[in-house]
Amino acid sequence: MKKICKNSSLQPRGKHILVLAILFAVVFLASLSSVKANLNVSLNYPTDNLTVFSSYPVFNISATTTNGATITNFTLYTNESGTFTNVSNVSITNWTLNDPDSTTNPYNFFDMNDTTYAQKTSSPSTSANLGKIFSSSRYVGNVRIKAVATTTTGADGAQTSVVIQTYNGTVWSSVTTLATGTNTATYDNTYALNSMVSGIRVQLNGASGAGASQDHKFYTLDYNETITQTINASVSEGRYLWNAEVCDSNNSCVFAPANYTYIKGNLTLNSFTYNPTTTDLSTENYIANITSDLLTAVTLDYNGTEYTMTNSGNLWSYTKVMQNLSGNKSIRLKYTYNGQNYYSDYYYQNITNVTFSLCDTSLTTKFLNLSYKYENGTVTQASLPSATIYYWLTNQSANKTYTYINTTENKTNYFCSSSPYSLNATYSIQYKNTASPQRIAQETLLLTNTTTNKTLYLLGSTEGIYVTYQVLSSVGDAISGVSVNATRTIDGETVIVGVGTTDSAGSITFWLNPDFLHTLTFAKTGYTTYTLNQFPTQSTYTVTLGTASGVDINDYIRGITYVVKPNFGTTLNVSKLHNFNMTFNSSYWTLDSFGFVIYGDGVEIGANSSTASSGFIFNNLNISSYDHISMKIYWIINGTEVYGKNNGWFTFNYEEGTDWSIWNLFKDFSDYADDGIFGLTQNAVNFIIFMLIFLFVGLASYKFSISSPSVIIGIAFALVFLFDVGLGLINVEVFGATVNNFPTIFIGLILVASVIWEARR
Amino acid sequence: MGVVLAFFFFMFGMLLIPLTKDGVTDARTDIGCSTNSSISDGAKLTCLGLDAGVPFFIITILTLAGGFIGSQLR
Repeated sequence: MKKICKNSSLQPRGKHILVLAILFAVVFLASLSSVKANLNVSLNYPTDNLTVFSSYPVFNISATTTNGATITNFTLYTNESGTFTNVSNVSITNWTLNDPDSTTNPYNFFDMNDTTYAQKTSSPSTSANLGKIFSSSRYVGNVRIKAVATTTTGADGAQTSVVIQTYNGTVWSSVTTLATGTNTATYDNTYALNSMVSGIRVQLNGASGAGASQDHKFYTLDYNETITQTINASVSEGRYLWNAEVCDSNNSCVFAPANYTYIKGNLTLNSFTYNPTTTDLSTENYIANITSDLLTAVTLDYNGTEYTMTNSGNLWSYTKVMQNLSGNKSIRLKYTYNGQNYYSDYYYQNITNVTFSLCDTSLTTKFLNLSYKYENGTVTQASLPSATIYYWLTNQSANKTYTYINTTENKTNYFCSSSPYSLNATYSIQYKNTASPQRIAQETLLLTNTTTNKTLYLLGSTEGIYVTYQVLSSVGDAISGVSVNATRTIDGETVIVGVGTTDSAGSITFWLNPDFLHTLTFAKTGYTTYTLNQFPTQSTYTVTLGTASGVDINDYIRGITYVVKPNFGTTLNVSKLHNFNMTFNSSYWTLDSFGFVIYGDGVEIGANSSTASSGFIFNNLNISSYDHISMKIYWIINGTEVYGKNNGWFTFNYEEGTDWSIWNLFKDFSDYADDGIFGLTQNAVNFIIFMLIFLFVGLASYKFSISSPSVIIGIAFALVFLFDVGLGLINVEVFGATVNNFPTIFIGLILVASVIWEARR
Repeated sequence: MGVVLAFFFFMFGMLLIPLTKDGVTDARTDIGCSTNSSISDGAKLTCLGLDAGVPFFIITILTLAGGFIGSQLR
């Protein structure tokens, strides 16, 4: 230092000035850096390497500024034109006025440059508000506030407060009281607001009333802000980069730190067909017509529950049974495209609830009226110890159950429904009164809003006897589950006086009048229906049912057919999700259920079943972990489980071991051509392939002296087939549309014509 | 003699294939042939050359072996 001073031409005073100047510069720069706004940009959507399907997708960008700067502009850039180009721009208007209560207030209280907290204003009013209203709602992070509220005279001991408020575009709401005090409230801190608001302000409250005066002092108020902006822009099919530039009020402009890639995929939802309104218990079809290239699965997301749709060509469909559903339900489609899942927009379906119950003030459309008579024709009343009614619209598997108990005897019982359609209903009603034993009525009816009247008959305690029928097979075994129906004629009308099924002992008991002729019918699948006309004077009868003609009751494969896809014995590609399905049909037996269980290397990996007698069931499975898949098919008839022939599939990984193949070479070439290599376009690829074929055919013809046009065209056809179908390298548009394998078809037709022409010569 | 040479070249070539495959795999991984779509055009061309390595090595071996046997049959 001494040496410097010795050699310096500056005088000591000059040195001091220089040192002071340097210090001043350092402090100035430090102060500048301390207030320099920090601007950060992040790209939210599309995320990196995401596939978008819309030609006009939304780009979502967030930007955050600190230290009081405000965001002024978002600019979207893509490289679709070959260079990074501005494709869309959105300007952000900053706050519009200082304060809704004091529009003439000249002070900017969002002033982070003022690190001294110099007093900005004093307000003599009893309450003062200072803040900002924004042009659009934005995320406000930390709010820096320094304010003092003072009640100076006339109201000693008055409560004084500093309150922060937010504006939602319509009204101001107090968020929290930052400070309170007697006569004086002071707040000097950073408050974490962390919310989306359209404005913020600080309210200073003092005492009011005669003689009171205040001296409110605002010093500074500042905030950080984050704005999330969406920009729509047209995009072309392909793979491109995008980024966004954001500028702030300090004229600082920043890009997101890394470009993102978006891929415009080839997927178009041509139509989505469904009923916007429907009813509970109905069966609804959802059909999506989708054009795409790499779509592997479509799932119906119905109010949060996913159902795999079945595919046929461009159509993806799912049939859903509405069971206990009502209200507005959301629907959307989940596409599995090139291994990634994407969602469609939401659709909505409004479901009208269908109920059936005893009529009341809320349910007044009468569907069923039960009335009661004695068998002698006298009208009576009855209680219902138990009534169970199953009802459905058209698909019996979608049903509801209504149970009703009423120990009070009534002459009629009305049942009402909210269904806009006819209802199928099966009831099982136990009814009785004090003078008659209980009977059971069972019947299946079609009910409409035109009331169906049913009369249920009772028989007095002194007029009947209990008669038990036991049903046996021809070899003396009790038969359970036999449907038994007892009828008699009353006033010229055949009425049911007893109905039910036999128990495990093959027995059923009715309360019958022995003085009248009754007709009893005994029926069960696999047995000959037996009809008995009698005056039931005994307490027990035995009925023997013979087997139906030509039918072995144990022939549980009679009328059973099923088709399984994929065909048994084929080899399955492990890299795909496989749809295992079975179309099952039972033309003879009524099944308890049918289904299949799928095993992967002996371990159960999936199953499905149905309680119908016929139908289509499926299961989508990932089989990548298994070498062998097998399926066990079963169906259950009258509790007996019957198995189909076990069969299965072998699996194979078609892509394993192809890393060094010629196919891999051409696959990479195709990929690189798509991504861009030396500016190679599809037309250039087509031209190179044409030259290769031309040279090869020409050389072969010359070398081997081939003069037959058919043979030459045959060689050309083989090469075109190899490059077009085998390697997929040729892509030709015909009148603006891409026709798959058009070159192969075209050369093939020429070859056929040439062979025919040569044969006819 | 031609058959013996053909057998020799065939066996020798088959023994070299695993080494060639490993070399190709290492080179492709280092360049990022499969994982990075933003590699340079030159790197892409190198990848295509590497892709062609093993198939053409096999074709060369079969051609040599077939040539030796064919010359013997003349």
